[in-house]
Amino acid sequence: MLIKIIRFLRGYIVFTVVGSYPERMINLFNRSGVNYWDLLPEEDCYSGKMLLSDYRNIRKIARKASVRLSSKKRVGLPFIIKKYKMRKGIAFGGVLAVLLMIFLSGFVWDVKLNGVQRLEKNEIYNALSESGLKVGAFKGAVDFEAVERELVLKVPEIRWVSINALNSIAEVEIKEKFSKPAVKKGKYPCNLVAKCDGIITDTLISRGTCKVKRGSAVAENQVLVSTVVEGTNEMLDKLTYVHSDGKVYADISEKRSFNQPRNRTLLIPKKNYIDKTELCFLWFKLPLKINSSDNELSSGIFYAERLKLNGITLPLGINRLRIYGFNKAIKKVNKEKIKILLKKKAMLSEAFNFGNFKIKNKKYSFTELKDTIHLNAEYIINKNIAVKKRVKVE
Amino acid sequence: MKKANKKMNSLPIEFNYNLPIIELTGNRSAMVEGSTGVLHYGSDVIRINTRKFVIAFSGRGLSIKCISPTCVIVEGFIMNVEFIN
Repeated sequence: MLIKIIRFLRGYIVFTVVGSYPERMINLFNRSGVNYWDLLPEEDCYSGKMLLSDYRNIRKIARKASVRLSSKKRVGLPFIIKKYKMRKGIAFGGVLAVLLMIFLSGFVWDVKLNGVQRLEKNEIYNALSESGLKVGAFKGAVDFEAVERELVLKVPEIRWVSINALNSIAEVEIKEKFSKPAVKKGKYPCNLVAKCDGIITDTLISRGTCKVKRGSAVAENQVLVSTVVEGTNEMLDKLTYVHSDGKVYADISEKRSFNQPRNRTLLIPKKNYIDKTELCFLWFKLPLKINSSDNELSSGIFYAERLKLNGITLPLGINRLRIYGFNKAIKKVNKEKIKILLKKKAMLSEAFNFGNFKIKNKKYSFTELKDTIHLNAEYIINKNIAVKKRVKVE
Repeated sequence: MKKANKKMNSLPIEFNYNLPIIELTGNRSAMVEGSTGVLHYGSDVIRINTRKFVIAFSGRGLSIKCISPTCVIVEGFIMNVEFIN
């Protein structure tokens, strides 16, 4: 393969030999050190290949051997150069492309994270960027071992990290730490007490002595399940202290209050938006569209588009920032609409706060004031009210 | 004189009599070391001159793969090797 490349770079000629004694020519070539190969006998001639430099000097030998040489095909770089000699731009472009490739291969084009399962990728990207490893960083200036050490210190959940800078892509291999198994604390004696006032509806006790019955009312901090357990038949006089465990369900009353002013401040988006576009090439950013906005209230959406080739992200792309302006407007809302809004707020709150509990009853009442309208919501919820309270045994 | 002869005999035979070395790889390739030139080159017959005799390879699809002033490699289906004095 290497020989083929060298031959191509030096240029060679496919030649044919016609004559009475081609063997004589072969011997003369050997004696004069002419390099040729693939000399094959054909019907009435011989064909072979020879380097361009040798072909220029064999005319004399051919005449001596009384054979006629003719070139059939010219292959190699010298002939390509000759062909495009007049088109200097191509050569210039080729040289420029090679130089550009050499220059660009010195930078990090993309940073890839492998092995991330639970951690936030953005957090790791930020940590890497702070340590100097980011898109557009000069590879020679990045101390990969130092970046690895810093990353482990910055993100303590990382167990092991290795950065492989293959070509222009930095692949960060990450192993996350194993999460600690939850330690079950169940050895100390404890009571189950009521978290709040309520009426008991159901008890599911796995350990301890139940002190309440269904339908009984309990106050906050009242003992529901006692740690003290009386002995069995053989040891009647002996008391043991256990780690009480279980669930005690009770109906409890909850109150929530929501308010809504009669006048609502609305942010109305303007019809026009402003686009800011910039061309990104490694670390360099060239603004393509510059627009100024005089909006006090504005919100933007950022898009980053990167050029991809065969799944490889190239360091060339466009960043777009679309800015929407808003107008502030105060609008008086009628009573019915406010009530609907308040109900929606209440329902949202229920979904977030009582999502896991059973709401047995709910009642909404509205109070109208001069500027605002209040919604008072009363709920009866069924939930587990038992909480563990440690008992000191002396 | 006898001592000189003994010394001569202890050397390999090719050094004693300027004989060519022929290395055959099956019937597909033959390397001749000690050639002095090609006498005939055809796809059926290749004749190679050495100092002592002419070696003729006959067969089909014969070609010279590589050639240097003292060495020739013949490739193809060699059917016959002949030594002509």
